[in-house]
Amino acid sequence: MAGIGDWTVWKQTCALDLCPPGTQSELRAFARSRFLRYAIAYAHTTNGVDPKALTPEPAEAWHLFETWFRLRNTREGKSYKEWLFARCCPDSPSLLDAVQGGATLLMRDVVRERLARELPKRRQVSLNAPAWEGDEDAPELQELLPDASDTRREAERRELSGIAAAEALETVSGLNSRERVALLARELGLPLSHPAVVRAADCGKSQLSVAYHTALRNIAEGVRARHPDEENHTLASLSVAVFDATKKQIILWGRSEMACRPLFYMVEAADAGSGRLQEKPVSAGQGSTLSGRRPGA
Amino acid sequence: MRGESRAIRERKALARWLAEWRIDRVLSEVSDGCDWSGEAAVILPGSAGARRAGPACGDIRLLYPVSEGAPLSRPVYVALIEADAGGAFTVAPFGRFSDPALPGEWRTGFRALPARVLCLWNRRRISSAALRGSWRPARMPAGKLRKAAAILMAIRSGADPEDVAPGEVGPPARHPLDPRFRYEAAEAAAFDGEIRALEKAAARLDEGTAAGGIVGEGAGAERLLAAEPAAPHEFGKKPRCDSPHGNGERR
Repeated sequence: MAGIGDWTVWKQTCALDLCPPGTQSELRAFARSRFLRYAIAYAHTTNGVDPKALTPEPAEAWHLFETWFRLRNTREGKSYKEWLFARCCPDSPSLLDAVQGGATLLMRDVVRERLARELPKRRQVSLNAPAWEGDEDAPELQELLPDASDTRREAERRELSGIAAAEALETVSGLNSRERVALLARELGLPLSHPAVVRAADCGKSQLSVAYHTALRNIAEGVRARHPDEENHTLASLSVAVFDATKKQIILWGRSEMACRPLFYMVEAADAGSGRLQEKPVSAGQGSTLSGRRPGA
Repeated sequence: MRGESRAIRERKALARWLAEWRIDRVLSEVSDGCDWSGEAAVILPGSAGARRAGPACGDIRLLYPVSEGAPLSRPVYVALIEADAGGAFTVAPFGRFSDPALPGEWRTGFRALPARVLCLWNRRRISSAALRGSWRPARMPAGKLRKAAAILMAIRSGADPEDVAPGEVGPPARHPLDPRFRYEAAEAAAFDGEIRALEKAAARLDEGTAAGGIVGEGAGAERLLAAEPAAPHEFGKKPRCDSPHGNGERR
């Protein structure tokens, strides 16, 4: 097993090839074992894929790891090595775990990119395939991006907009206050973890994140429930239209809510005329200014 | 790409992104296998990062792993796009995936994977004090910096980034079940937490405290972070992409 000494030698050396043989073999074995762990997890979700066949030999696994985060072939370009060691106090007994935990997390990106590049035949993805696996209700790829450039459907689109405007009112009234604040914050471009957003929602950021996902799902499911006989492509277009209209209603609702006013202050544009958004004070305590989109513009 | 309609190109791009996202969801369930719950991250005065040149526009910087709560799961590389008179910078993080997910994400053309996609929609303002612990693994060529600034300008003005960088930005997210809304919210929260933690660390050093997980490196340690006020965050106006779809959708 690799020890902190192996990692330290590697950190101080240009590349693993220049390290002592023992360090080389330990770190290469580490890289392969972590790659294999991810490959096993991925293989569980596929039929007939052998995780060992997905996993490269130790030297190749290490090479992928060592070069993935390298921006240039210089010491500065490899500053991810410093990052790995900076995750923990240098004299902590947990340093090895911190370094190896970090390296494992880096390996996740390596494995993901390699699997995405080599396994699926990207050009063969069907437009009618679910956008993601394991969910019967997942929309099809073409539903996520309805082709709105088809001018023959202009009349249909206008009709959908009218329906959507009416349904948006119903949709908003069915959302609870957390869900409304979550939608409002994202529409304003604010992170759900921002303290002002959390204050406005009067709940924790994790609950707010759940509320956001719930709201998105409820909007789509509401459309489906109200139009059970429509075809998928119409439902998709209607979902998009209702979502658009709902966001407009949420902005109107937010403007009328005292608790949401700080969110608007934070993102208001002072000079929309030039297109250059300027920043306005937020609060005395924060003493900061923010710029962002012009809500409801 | 030539001859393809924008709709087809966007669907292909989305298919590529979704393929990688699906794999990422599976891999994210795997534990890092280490018995380490995440100690308070430290800033080490006198570290190599501290001795390098101060931040400047065009820098690609690797942020110091200061975390708020949970330890950071990955290195965060940012590009410094703009500087203001107060010494703060507008920075945008590079994304995790190989393809741009949203109209506010730009395929940079860099071969290095961690710098392939710049997420301009997730930009923030950060003080130079909070950047002092960061490393500078590379710089953006002037042409790429200009392109990034042009896309940023388009986003801020409500124009379509696709007009500035045709075929180089991601497709719009429009359907409420589109997983990119989840991705966007998660990335915004994660980057916000990182910037907030760095600013807090800078402010604490400014107050002369070595508490809260920021430690020195012996009696002779230099002060890494300068006495500068924390910069406000800049929350981004989302890019609009109403053409050619024509419904005024912003995202």
